[in-house]
Amino acid sequence: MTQATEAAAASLPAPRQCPYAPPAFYAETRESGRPRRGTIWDGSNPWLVATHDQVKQVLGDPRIGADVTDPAFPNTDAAQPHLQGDIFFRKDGEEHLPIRRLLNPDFTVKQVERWRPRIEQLVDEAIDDLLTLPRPLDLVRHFALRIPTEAICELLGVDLADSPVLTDSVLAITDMHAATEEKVAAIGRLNELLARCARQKQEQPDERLLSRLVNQHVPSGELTFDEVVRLGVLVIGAGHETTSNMLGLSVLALLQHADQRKKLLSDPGDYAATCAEEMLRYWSIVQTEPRRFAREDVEIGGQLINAGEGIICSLGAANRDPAVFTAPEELDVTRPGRQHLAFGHGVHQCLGQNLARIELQAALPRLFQRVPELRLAVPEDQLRFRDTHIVYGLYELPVTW
Amino acid sequence: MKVTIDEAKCCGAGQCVLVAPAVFDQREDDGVVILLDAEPPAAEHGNVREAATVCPAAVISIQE
Repeated sequence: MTQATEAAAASLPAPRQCPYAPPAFYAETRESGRPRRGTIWDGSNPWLVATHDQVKQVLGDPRIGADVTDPAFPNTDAAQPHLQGDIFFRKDGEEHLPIRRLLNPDFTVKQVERWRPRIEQLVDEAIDDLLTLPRPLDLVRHFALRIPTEAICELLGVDLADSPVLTDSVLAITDMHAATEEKVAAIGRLNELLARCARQKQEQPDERLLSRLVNQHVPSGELTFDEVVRLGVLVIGAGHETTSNMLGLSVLALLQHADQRKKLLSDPGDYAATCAEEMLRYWSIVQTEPRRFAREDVEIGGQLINAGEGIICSLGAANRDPAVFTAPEELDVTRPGRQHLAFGHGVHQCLGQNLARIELQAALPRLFQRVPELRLAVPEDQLRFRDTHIVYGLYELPVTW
Repeated sequence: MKVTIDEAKCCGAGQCVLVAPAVFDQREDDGVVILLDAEPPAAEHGNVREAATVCPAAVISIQE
């Protein structure tokens, strides 16, 4: 008991000591080879799991649940069960997989590959506009946020890419320090927005995702109208906020590592893909998730985790596990393989991962090919990172050339 | 090498198609894996092993 109490002193999510590495407590937990307890906002003591092998095990084990409404689930904040309690991706088994499969057709490898030319066009249009703007400018707003937002809106079939409601609401929802009422209000605004779009699709159907959901799967009884609205909010929220943070951080990393930038540009045909995977691994932007709970007693890394106990996985620590990655702290855009867990693992693994890959592959080399003199417009230590968000990222990236 | 898949568990992430497109595909209507070649040639064995490792839902089994 004394040992458990001592270990429970560490507060989760733990603070970062350096903006370019996961928190030391996560790396230490990984090096210890065993899960360790932490304390979260509600005073409960979930287990932190941080080795690559153990994170894969937790996320792949059907005895470990993902339902945010279960009392044993270590919620990110008080708002989580209210915001996500009725969405499939926070459910398990039959409440999860059949719904995911309704969304899958728009996210298969082949289907998103058909979007590549359009995404390349969106990248070029964003750069065209950048080149006309006064400098310095914020690359997050004009590039990193713009491209994924436009892409996911087109895929969904909604004309919301310029909507301030969208960006502001998602920012509030993903900030762990925002008040519950603020988050509930933000999700309400998004639901209203998407409900309006879904009604439009009922009147004027098209071939895109939102129309397909509301015109095929509502009449068939597989989904209700409200579920379609929530799925729309999920797709649009998860689809632009994650990739935009990845793009902003990846541009920063390439600005900081001239050798890596040169390697990428020496052969973008080969390295655009490995660079995207390496950035995903290096940044591991999902910093407070995945979270789970044990439905039965399970043993992870020699530690018994009792039924009813919460589990928090550190993707960042797992993705720098020396047992799997050579020189894991180093950024190497030519690193082969896809062993990283940046998109999670198990049946809840990121639905939009193949779209995200194409966006990163299209945007990163192109930006530096067309703006080779791109550089930071502020000293590095003035950059502001999203430390209190579920998804790590930069608030802004001031650049010039 | 003999490859088998457990369709019922597949979440359609598509990692196998990225890693070994000659051996795996996805159904258009729900993203579930299609096994194109249950006895792939030696040149594909490395890719198939990687696909089995990265498959998020442990759908792919290999007998060697």
